[in-house]
Amino acid sequence: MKKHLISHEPKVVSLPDEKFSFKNLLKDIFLTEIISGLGLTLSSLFKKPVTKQYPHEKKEAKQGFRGLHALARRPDTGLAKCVGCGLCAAICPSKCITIYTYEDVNHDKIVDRYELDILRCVFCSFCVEACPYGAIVMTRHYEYASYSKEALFMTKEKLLKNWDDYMSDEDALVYFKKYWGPREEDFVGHEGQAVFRNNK
Amino acid sequence: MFGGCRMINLTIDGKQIKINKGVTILKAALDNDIYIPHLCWDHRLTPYGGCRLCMVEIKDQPRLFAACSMPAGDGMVVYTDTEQLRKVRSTVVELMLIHHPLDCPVCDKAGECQLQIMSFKYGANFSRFKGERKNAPEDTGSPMISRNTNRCVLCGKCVRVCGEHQGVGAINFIGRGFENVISPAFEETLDCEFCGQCVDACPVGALGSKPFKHRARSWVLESYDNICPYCSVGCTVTLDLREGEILRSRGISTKGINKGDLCGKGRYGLDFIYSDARLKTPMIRVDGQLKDVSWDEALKYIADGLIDIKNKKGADRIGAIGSPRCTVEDNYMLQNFMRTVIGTNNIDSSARFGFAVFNQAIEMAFGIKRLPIEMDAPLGKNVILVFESDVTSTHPVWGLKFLEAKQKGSKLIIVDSRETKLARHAHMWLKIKPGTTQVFIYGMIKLAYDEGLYIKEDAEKIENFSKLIELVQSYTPELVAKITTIDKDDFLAAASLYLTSTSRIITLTIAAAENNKGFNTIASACDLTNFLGDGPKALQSPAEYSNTFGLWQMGIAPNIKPGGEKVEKPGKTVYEMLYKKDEIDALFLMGEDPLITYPDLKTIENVISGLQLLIVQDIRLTETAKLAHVVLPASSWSEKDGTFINSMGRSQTVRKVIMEKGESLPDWQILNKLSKVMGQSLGIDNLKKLQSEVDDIRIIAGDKRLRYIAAPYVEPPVTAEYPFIMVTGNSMQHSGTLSVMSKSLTHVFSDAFIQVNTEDALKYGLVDGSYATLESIKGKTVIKIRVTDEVSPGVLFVPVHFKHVRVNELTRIAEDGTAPLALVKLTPIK
Repeated sequence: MKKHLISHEPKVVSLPDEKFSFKNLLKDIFLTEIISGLGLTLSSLFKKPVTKQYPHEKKEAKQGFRGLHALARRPDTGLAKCVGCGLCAAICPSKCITIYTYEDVNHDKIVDRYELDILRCVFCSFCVEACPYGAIVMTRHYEYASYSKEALFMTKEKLLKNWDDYMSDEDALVYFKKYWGPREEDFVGHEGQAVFRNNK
Repeated sequence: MFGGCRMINLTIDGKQIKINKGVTILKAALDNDIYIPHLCWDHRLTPYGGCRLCMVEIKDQPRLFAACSMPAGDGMVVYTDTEQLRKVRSTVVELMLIHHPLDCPVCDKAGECQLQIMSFKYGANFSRFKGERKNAPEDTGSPMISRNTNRCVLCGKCVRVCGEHQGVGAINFIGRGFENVISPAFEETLDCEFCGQCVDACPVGALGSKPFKHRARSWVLESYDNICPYCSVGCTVTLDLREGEILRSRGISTKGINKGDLCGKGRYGLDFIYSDARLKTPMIRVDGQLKDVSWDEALKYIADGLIDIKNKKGADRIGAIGSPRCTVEDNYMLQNFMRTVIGTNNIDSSARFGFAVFNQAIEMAFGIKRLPIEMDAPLGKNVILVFESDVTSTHPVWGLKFLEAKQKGSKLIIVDSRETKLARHAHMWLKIKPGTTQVFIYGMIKLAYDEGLYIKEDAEKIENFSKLIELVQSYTPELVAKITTIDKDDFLAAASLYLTSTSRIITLTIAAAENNKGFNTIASACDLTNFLGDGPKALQSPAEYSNTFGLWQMGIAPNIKPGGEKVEKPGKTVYEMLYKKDEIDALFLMGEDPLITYPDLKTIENVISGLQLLIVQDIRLTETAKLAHVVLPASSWSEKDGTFINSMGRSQTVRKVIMEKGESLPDWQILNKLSKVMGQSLGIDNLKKLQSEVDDIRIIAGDKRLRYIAAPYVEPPVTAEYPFIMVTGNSMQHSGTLSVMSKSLTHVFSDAFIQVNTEDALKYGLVDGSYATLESIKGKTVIKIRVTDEVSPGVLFVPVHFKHVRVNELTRIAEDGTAPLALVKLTPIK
């Protein structure tokens, strides 16, 4: 049995001969099938198209879409919300985030460089989920294909610009609150829970 | 301590354990790979029992016990992880978190924070208690340590490490109840010796290292172990790197001979490798200016120059100086190059002023070629006698053993003109006139002889007995008191304490930077050990730098070959090469900067500027390199593989953990290339070959014949014109040319200073912080005054390593074996 299974000979399969009929002959002579096909094409010309005509017609991203990254700005100071805790970089499965911090004259922690290599990003949005302050977000913007690697290597300045460009309007902020909102706000929690920050 | 070494059996988590009686449950568990959580326990400290995390259950006992302070009992059955214990620990963590701010995202401790680990493990994410969170401002004023009291869990580890272990006591608990914080006295900014032991001890982020602050998250760091390049203790430092840059160093309690202890230099001073002054390319002097050239050009230039001098004037006109900062391999290569390729024994190093003197003395007195110190030498001794040495500054981690010994009951007697840290802890501090240790020791021998406090038969058997007795006869306690300026009764008390004890050691250091001891000092100490029959081990004198011991073993001396074999025709010493004109025409300096660290540098400067060819191979543009004809960039510590031999005679591997700076090369490779360019290959192609050659060196033991040296004491000349005795040495943060390159250490001290006694300051009108002219017969300089009571009247203390104040212009050398003390005068600048 086993042997048979292994070494079976290829079978030649032949289609059954079509029977000659008068109907088929007429079909071949007058090319009726082609005409009916053309008819369908012709009828489609007058129907509404099903596909999006992409460069001319753009689709709005769905809520929670993982598009281009951005660094959120603090509404009060206009500076980046990021404190450089490095949790996004730690959780990133493709290790595409690198953060460099330093101590400024006021002894505060300042994010010097926030680098994100989009060409290595897998768009899992773990970084956004890990961030305790909602400092890194993914915008709805997806049209940033480029011929150069540099254009797809995000720095802190570029990421902040992304925030200004794609997340600063009213509509986007609603989207941001709903999907990438700062975890910080959730930490208020129920009565008696350890508070995250010093809520006076 | 705990009544003998009876072994007991106990069971921890079902594991049968056999340990010494008196060991705590926590120690027993940790030694047997059972982890019990703890915050406030440290292996160096006495049990405290503050954090209550190490609670354990003991069978048939109704209550829980803190494992850190509960001694293990015979037949005990201990459980470390039960439902009840988890609940208790969870509550403990919960209570700690009432006040603890959850600012982990900006706290540098996150990722290695014990509290974070504990709360993660025991899941105290819900707090039933409400309390006010502290919002005190962070203390960022001190140069090395930042203190954030909000994060403190009051485990007291820092307080105990600082006071109990380090012997400083710079911080303590201040306030009561909710106001209780860890703070320096009067809540001032921290101003201590900046060893950083508290930073490593802190389980949370309350105490942090300033240079490392906000620079990287702990989990992105890669750790490598290396041997510290500073002193000869040879501590293991754990270097934390990010992207190939060393960001911090730590001591880990399980590693190396230091077992977690580090000094300020080892913890903060390792950034010297990132100094801006580092050399990147070889340079040749063209028209009076140093110009960057390629390696080929530089080596060709040196080879041509050396061959020319060798052919025209002879190999004897070429000299070399090795470095105790370079590895064993580098030094072996240098002497190999000089002896094989050049064909001369003109090779020496700064050890001539220190370690060579010591070795000469022990060879004469004990007939041995090497006398390594022991890390635990002070422990368990009845009496420890330290002569004019600041061990806690020069060898800080070894110095801690003296404090530990004192705490465990040893009597510590310090004979010093300065109030060193050991002096502050000593049972007896005798203020001696600088350079008169020899008289003190001879007085002790005389006392022992008169009182019969020695083993007569053994002592008399040793050669030169009558000569020694004749020499010491005149040193009556009255004369000793007169010369050393120590009170007679104090002298007698200290001497009889030492002479009557059963186990005792003498410690003194000798180094180029210290001018209060000479050959005669060491010789007298050797005589005392011989006379009392304690054996060479009773004399503990550590080598100066990280590889001084190795350098000596590699034969960087004009009269010995690697391993200690005598050379038939000795070459020229440092004294001839650098202090006498027209002795040599070419000098090869490897990793040494004589124009800062050697005494009497005006003479050296004169000699060096008359040289036909001066080659300096160093990690940075040193003061000497500024006069050189050729400057070669060498790779620094951590940029090359090699070996250091510490003062315990232990070979320790030094690893390459970062890339070489610029075009720099390891020293041995430069010498190897140079020998090839000179047409005489040494047949060493790689480090392995070189190391196997070094391994093959046969180390010669001496004849082990005991002798008394009986060197006479020579009274230094006194002139009314120069009223002060100037003592040079190391400060706690600086120990030579490496430490002044470190940015962090210069935050603590960047300026040279001279310590003047309060009385003298009043007498001569010297104001603290002002500048004064310091003048000796050799030269003069301007220096900042620091008025203090740490020095005796008539004595000045000054560290010599700062290049802008060339203190060594004023010092002198003493080839006759006396202490090369300098007499100076200070005039305030109006």
